[in-house]
Amino acid sequence: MAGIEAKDVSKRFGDVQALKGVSLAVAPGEFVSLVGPSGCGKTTLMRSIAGLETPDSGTIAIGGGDVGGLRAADRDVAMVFQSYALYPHLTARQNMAVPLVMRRLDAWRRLPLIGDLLPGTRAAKAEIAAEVARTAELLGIEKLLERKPGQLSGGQRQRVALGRAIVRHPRVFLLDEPLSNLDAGLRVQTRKEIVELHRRVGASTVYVTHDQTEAMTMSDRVAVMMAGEILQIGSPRDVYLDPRDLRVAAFVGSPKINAFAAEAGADGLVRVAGTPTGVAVAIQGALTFAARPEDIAPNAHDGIPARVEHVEFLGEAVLLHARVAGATEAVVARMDARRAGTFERGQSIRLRPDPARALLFDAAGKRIVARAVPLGLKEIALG
Amino acid sequence: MYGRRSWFADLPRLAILGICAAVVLLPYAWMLAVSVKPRSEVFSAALSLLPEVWYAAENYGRVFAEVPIGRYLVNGVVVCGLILAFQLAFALPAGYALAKLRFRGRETLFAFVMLGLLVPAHVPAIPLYIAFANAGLLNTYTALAAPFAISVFAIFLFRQFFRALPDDLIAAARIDGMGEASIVLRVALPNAWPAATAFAIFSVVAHWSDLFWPLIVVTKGDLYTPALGVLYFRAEEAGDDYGALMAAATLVTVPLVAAFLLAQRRFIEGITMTGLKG
Ligand SMILES: Nc1ncnc2c1ncn2[C@@H]1O[C@H](COP(=O)(O)OP(=O)(O)OP(=O)(O)O)[C@@H](O)[C@H]1O
Ligand SMILES: [Mg+2]
Repeated sequence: MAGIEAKDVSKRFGDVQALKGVSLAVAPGEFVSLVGPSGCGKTTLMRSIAGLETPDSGTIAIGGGDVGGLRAADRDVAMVFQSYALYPHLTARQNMAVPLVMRRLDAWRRLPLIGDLLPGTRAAKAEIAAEVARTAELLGIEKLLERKPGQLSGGQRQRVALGRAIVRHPRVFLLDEPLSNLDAGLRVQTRKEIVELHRRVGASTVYVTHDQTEAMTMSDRVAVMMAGEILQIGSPRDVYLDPRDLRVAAFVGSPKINAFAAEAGADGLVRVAGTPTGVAVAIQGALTFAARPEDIAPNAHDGIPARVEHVEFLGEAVLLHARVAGATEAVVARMDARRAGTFERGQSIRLRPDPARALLFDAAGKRIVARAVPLGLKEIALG
Repeated sequence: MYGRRSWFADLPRLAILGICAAVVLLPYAWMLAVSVKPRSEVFSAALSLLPEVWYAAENYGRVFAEVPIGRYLVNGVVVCGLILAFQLAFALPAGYALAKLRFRGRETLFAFVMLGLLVPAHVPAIPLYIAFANAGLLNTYTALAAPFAISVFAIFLFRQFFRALPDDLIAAARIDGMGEASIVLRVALPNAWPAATAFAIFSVVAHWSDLFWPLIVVTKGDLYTPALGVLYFRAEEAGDDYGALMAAATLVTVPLVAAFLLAQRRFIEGITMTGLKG
């Protein structure tokens, strides 16, 4: 097993800086997801690891050895592309056999008729056929092996592409949004299967997606990428509960985290729209006060004044959308459906974020330490 | 829904296509007809495709007896085969490089290819002739084939075709362990069958019936290409024996038609092969 270590990798295309000194370390056998909005450089990083793209600077090592000078073919990585990139003129069986044929048979043995006459070719080919059959069985595609990609559905093609990648037991497994062309049901199912496959195969895996649910549910660690930089790498739990950057907090979690423009006074107490929040910080001035929807509760007496816009009933939960005067985005509060009261459109309410769970960010969007302070009676009255 | 009604709807189209086909085929039909007629019937006033006296044995017999037509056909196959093989050997990698590899000066190189398309074959004929003469290569297969070994048209055609291949497909091939040469042969070419067959048809037809260049570089009978052979037969042997002349012309055309029909099947297979949108 082999880990991946990318250090300070930069790549520029014309005047687009696709990667700005990205560092990413994947432990042997680890499953790391790379999430981020479209165009943030996920595919570029992936292709750099695979050897399909030459970084302008930085180093990439696989299994401890620098692979900078190696061609894609010699890095022993396998990749599943978003478009699957199956060979259209070959059957599923032949598609899956290609990586083995290219590696195990030399140029002479690959020749159509002469190859078969050389010693060892037949044995090698039988071995390859057996391995393809085993992999097909693992993926449940034995019945599709004689079809060409054009005769397969999206989900089936995806499986063949997976098969082509795992058939040769690569050191490193790269998956670039392999599920994005599948329908929702199939996506959930395949998600589980990929995780299981990873457990069985054990290769270090980088999984690109812009679907954060996928990233959170599948991975050991999640790397959040934005505008050519990795903002944070951590367990799904860390990335969600302990984001280091406002952009990470905003990207991870659905509905999105609620961000309020806030002000810290000389005493360090943070106020949103003039309302004390019960949180104190060590700095002064403008900052961002953020709270996840489940950490905000409507309240009759104290909190930030807002007006109800609409209410979504999800079954187990209710999402309350409300607007604070002057804010561009609605605040979303998530409540237990059985305990939520009834709200009407236009109704005035107050929203009280849980001070112990609030996340605070400085003007540059970096996370700052906050502590909850009990609100004095006077302050409640003022609010 | 696809029964009689659509057959009627297709009638005008079929009629027009039929007429066009007839117009194109008529000279060939006439050639075939004349090749089995005795001389006296060729210029008779009655327009009839079928002869009154069956004269095929005599006409074809004369051709075989008087010129080495088999030799000419072999020459044709050798020259066309050499030309096509070299054209593909140069154009496939060149087209691939121009379409899919990133390197400095690629666009400039491609501009030169485009420029090359603008130069008619006749322009460099004299300098080439002089060069071959000085090299002592007149009256050789080399002289017949070498000037056509690099076809800018083929480079252009394959470059356009390869551009349509998804980049991911090439990337997948690299990861699967293929070198660039393998990619050309195992990925690019199999997905460019329609282009390859279409080009092969153009190339073989053009050089099989080319008269201009063989006439310049070949003076010895045993290197005559089929077209040159017919010309020679007409000048030296047949005189005004149009029956025999047309028999020779038929013999020269038949291999081409046969080759075309064979290639056409692959051509259509290539087009219907389910798509690259995989
Ligand atoms: N070959 C290229 N030539 C020029 N620009 C490129 C090239 N490849 C990528 N880019 C640019 O680099 C940036 C990062 O692209 P990349 O494909 O890595 O994004 P991504 O995170 O994979 O996005 P998506 O989620 O949409 O796939 C984009 O701005 C893109 O336009
Ligand atoms: Mg991408």
